[in-house]
Amino acid sequence: MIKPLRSVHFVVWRVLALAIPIALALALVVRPQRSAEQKNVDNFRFTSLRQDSSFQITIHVLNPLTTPSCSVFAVDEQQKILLGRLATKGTYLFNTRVSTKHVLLFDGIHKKEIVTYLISTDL
Amino acid sequence: MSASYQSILWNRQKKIYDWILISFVLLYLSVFISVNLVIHPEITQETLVIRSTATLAIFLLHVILMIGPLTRLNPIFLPLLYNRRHLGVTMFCFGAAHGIFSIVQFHSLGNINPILSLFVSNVHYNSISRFPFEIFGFFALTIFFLMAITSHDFWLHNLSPRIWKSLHMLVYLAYALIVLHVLLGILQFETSPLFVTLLVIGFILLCALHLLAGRKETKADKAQTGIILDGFEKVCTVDDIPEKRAKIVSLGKERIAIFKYDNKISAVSNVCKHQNGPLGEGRIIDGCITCPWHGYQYLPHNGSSPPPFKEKVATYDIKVIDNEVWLNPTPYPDGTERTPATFNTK
Repeated sequence: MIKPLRSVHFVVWRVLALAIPIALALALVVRPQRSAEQKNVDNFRFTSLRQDSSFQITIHVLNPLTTPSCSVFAVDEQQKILLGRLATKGTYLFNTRVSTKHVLLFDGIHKKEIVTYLISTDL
Repeated sequence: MSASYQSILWNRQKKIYDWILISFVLLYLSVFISVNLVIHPEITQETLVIRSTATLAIFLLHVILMIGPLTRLNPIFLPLLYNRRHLGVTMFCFGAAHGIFSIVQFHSLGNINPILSLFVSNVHYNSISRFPFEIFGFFALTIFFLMAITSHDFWLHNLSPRIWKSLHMLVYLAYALIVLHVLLGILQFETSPLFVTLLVIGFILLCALHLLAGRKETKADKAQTGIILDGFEKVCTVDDIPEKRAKIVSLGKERIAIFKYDNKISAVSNVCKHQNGPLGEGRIIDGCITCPWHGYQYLPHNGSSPPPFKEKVATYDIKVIDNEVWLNPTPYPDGTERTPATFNTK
């Protein structure tokens, strides 16, 4: 290796030796308070995650849907909010209100409830 | 160094290297997948692929980055350096598998382009804990991609060793991006301290090795005798140089390798034309200075590769007075023939 590149190497590692521990400490300090739960209901795996003031629901569709339509609603004491629709097998992520009490999967064509996922009160 | 083009110059050592690498990769994936299936029986295949490829790529990246300083500290590790580029391309392949599976898993079901989704699905750019850490991985992977596609000697020759080496030094930026990807991603979600602990251990090892090697090299660059006579500087005695090997001295702008062979002494630039390997750490094999990194060869008296090869390095004037070796640090143009200094054995 030539001399200028040797110097660059040495400088780069001295910078990394300082910067990465600072980044690690910062990442640990700002680590948010989280609580999560995972529950399987019929053909769906629900993962709910509460982090600071946000709430996140992940729905994993384990097998192909047997209903022609599947809408996702977040329901709390005051209202029912449409989050989106599930279509094929896979993972769907929704961000919603902290006040959500349960998640409802609804077949709009047959006007029929598919699944209701009750969020644990400890979460 | 091939006179006629051959995509890969396979030899026994490269084959052994690659077989060990493939065996390790298969063993790692088998163990990782088995252990995860036992600990997390509900884990999906996609998650297994994403996690196993990610951890394997990060592990390989640490090994790759350790090889350089290890060889500077102890030549016993030189065989690891010989085929490091295959290790690098393997690491990129697993990193790419991780990236592609992650994008398919988390960004392909929306109604926007999955790559665009990577940048716009989470817009908390002003928050550290909720920062879209995926983009660090994306940019690191882009660097690894550039490195992987230019890893062949074709690019080394066309870009020139200096530009090629500078481009490949972006690996340090990529490493920093990967660490941020893990710290702002996994650390924010993962409850087990295992992965972060392993990353911290890896970083400490890597950092310590690079700093130790850097210190050693800086020290070597500064070492000079200071005794100058008619443009020649006293560098060592004949006995300081092992037979068919070299003593490396740092005079002027670059290091110089002084070789002793067959009662003769010649001096050439220490920098190999291939990948700037340290010629002075090599040996004289079949009458040629042989680079310890990839075996490029040069004749000691003129710094030229034996025909039909065309690589040339600078040569220097050297003389022996009373068993002391004196070197003129002004280089001659690459490939200039200089008469070796001779000495009598006691």
